[in-house]
Amino acid sequence: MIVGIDLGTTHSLVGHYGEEGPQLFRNALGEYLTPSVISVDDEGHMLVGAPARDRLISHPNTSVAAFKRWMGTAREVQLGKRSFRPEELSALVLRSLLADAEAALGEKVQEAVISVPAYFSDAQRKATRAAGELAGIKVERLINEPTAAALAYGLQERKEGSRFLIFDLGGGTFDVSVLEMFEGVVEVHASAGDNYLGGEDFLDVLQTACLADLKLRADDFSPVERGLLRRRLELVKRSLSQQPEVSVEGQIGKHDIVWRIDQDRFLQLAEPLMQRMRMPLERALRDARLRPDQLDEIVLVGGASRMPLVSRLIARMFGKLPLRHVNPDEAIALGACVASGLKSRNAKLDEVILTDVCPYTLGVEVGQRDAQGHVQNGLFSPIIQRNSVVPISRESSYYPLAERQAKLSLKIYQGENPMVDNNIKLGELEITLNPTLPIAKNEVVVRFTYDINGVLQVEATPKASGIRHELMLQQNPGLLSDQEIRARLAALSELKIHPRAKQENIALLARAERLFEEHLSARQVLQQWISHFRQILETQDERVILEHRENFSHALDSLEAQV
Amino acid sequence: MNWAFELLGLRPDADVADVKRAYARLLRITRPDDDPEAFQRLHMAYKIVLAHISAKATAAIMPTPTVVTHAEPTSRPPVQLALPTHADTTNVTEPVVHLGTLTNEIIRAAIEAQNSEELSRWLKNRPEFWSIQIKQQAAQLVLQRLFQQPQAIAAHCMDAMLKFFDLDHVLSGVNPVALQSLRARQRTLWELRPENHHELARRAGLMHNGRPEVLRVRKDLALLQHPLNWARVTLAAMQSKRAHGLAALVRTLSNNGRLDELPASVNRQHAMFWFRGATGGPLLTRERFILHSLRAGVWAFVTMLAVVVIAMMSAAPDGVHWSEVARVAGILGGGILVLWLLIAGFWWFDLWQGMPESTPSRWPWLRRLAIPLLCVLSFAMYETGNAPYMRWLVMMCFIAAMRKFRRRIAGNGSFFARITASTPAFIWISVWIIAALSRAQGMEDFPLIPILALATFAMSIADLWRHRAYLHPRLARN
Repeated sequence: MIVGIDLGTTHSLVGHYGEEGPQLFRNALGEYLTPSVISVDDEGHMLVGAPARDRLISHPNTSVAAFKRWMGTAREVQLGKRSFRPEELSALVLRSLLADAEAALGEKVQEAVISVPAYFSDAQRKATRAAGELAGIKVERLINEPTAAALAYGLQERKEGSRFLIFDLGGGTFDVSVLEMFEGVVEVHASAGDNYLGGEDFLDVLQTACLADLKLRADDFSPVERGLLRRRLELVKRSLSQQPEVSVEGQIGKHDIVWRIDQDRFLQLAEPLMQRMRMPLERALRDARLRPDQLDEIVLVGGASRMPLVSRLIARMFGKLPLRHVNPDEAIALGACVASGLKSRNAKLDEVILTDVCPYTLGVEVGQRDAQGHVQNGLFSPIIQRNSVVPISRESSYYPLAERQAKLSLKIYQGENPMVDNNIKLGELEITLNPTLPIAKNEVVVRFTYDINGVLQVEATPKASGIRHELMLQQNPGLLSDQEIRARLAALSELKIHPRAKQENIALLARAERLFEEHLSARQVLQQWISHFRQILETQDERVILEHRENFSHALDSLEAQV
Repeated sequence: MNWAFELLGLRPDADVADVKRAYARLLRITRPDDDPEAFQRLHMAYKIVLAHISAKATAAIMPTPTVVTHAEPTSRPPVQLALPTHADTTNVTEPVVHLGTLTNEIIRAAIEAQNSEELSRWLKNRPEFWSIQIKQQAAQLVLQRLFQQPQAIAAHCMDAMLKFFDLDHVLSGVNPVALQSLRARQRTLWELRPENHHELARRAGLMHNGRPEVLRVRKDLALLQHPLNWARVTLAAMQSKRAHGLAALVRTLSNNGRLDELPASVNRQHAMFWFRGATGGPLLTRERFILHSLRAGVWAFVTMLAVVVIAMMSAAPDGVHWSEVARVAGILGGGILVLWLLIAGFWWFDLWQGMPESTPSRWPWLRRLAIPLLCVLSFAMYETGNAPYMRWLVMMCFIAAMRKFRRRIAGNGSFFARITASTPAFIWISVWIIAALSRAQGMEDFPLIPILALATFAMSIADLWRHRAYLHPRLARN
């Protein structure tokens, strides 16, 4: 069985392509969205999703969120006794999603299509694949998030011959793709983005402004209090999408927080972030060789695109209002389901074909001799230009700089800057030349092959000798090797995870603990409720637990509504 | 192009909808994940045909430009419109007209901005640039105008501007080398403004106690603006520090020796003289020879003058013996000049025979064998006994051979390359070894010259072996 997964910065979703088209699965708590948060409880059990997010407030030291932003780096985080890499944290989320899918489908899931931001780099993509392997599944394909959104949107609307721009502002990443649909072909023209721009950054801006207004510093709060403040501000950010003015009142730790903000102020604060969104939009459009008026529609997806300022930005730049996707949170996951259907060659999808692009420019370092014989080194010579359709294979010829040069070192880079120093180095290849030949005859043909999954293969052949030098770019510093993946897979399997049946009880307790931190006035009551519910859980009598769970849940609901 | 139409199964008069239909149909049989190569070919054909059709469409409407140019995104006013007034009068209602003025405003802002943040802020606050099209067109125009006439724009401001207009990436369509050169030229123009002279001094390395020597830069700049004048050159040549400073300044102004990029205010011939004459490095250029000859001449003259003055001051009671004084002065002055010529000769010889093997030369074998031949010759003459001064020639050969060997091994990083990193170090090592050997042997007349001759030979042969690939192609295979 193959499923589609949206592994997001803040939320993750899972689904498959079923009889009635794409269909999402609910998690143990009955929701489609599973927060991408991991926590470890006192007994060493791993918690994923809503209970972990609640524990982010009550136990900030043993909980972690937004780890998608570290994918592709070697950063590790300490949770309880063990330290985790971002791949492992993602794998835990994936495992929980797969358990939901298996519960709904009643069969084992072996393969998945996972969505990644279009602008994810090589290292980040490989880290996502590794996460899939750690979760015990085969990642059949990585699909770009805007492309997935386009698949979901386009197939739903069935608009023939239209060009549109997908604006995907998620929790931590920003992506833009320009696409065209005709005759059942979904053709991506160009993608651009910013891997470190998302809803979280808007929240940071709010937090900085709030603390500055109240003349406080982040160090004035304990980790728990900081989490509480952030949660309040998150609510403020959400409310600002509907109300012109929002205020926060209450006590956090020793500090009384009284703060109000209106939409104009927020707009002003978010101005630098809006400026950062301009460049990818312009670049995507220019690379697609389209004028703004040639776009039929601009579609917003991703939770953070709900903010009204996004619509304003689009209106200012394109002179037209964007179209909001019915459910911006689910669009990508639905698209990933469609992609999984495509992968398994679902009969109903047979007429849909997707062509995607490589979002980065790939090339080599070269030196160039000018008219006066000065050599300028460190120039970037592109071989595969960004936004070329994949799979692609391109070759270019290079010559030694000096007469009688005996070897040539080919340094492979990814990036957009004309100088290689500002780009990312992917690898290096040493090529021996025949020094007795004149420069013009010492040609080296370099071929780059970029496949549909984003793996780059480099081949260099000196024409004179015809000996091929090859390099597969799969190992990056900061990435796990196959061996390490196997070792870590074994280690992850030993982690204790609560059975799915208990999830609801755990979620309820975590929620009660969060409320305990949030509401100073109701602490005593909550304390009693929590210990009471714990006692009932120990009886292990299913019927009694079910009954009490209902009551407990209602009580918590009314408490939350009250304050 | 015919193959593209054939591959898609289209007739040459097909329209865009036909092309897309054909492409979609063929894509079903050549899926990108099944057959990458066939897909690539299909996609290329598709793009070629689409480009062909759109080119044909533009060509068809070209004859009636009055209707189309307004909608055409690529139509821009001619770039010569440097004066905004001119642009205003030609076509008033066109929104494109503002581009001329806008371009001028951008350039002015870039020139006047104190720092890059100020410029970025200015650019971001302009409402015009929210329109993607205007922004693109303005960027093109600004760049065209700057390429025609570089302005005094600081490097960081230029970078901020390029970043804002998204022109600093590799596929922007601007030649990156030309852009770098424009940036360097503009930086130089900016540094030439009096208030930025300290930046120029800093970049040229003209520092004193960690502070830029602004006054010195001003003096040198003033000198460089005059045409080449021998009196000034002689005066400056006598101060070795000044000559080197001038060379460093010219190097900085010319973007590391690209002399045709010098700003217009600097006299090119004059600048070139200092650059070629006083830049560090092994080359013996004509200018360098002139500069050192001037110095040697002045020293010879001063020495002769000193001799005359001393003779006059310590004059014997029976008056000055002018013939004697003239002889002494002549020998001293001539000696200095001859010494300089000898040094220059050795310098030239050392460079000529030590050039990299790949430099083209008329008699490569003469160059390769110059040292061994000279060494054999001088050693033979020394040994036959009637020319003891030939030992100096053997020593010279040794030094030249060693310098050549070391120069050609440079960058190799081996132990031998490291211990012979400088000529004095090498000589010291040799002297100590020889001294130790002679002490150990207890010999009074140590055979220094034969040993040197042997060492010279050994080094020449080692060098030849290292470069055997150049002697014959067959030797290149190792």
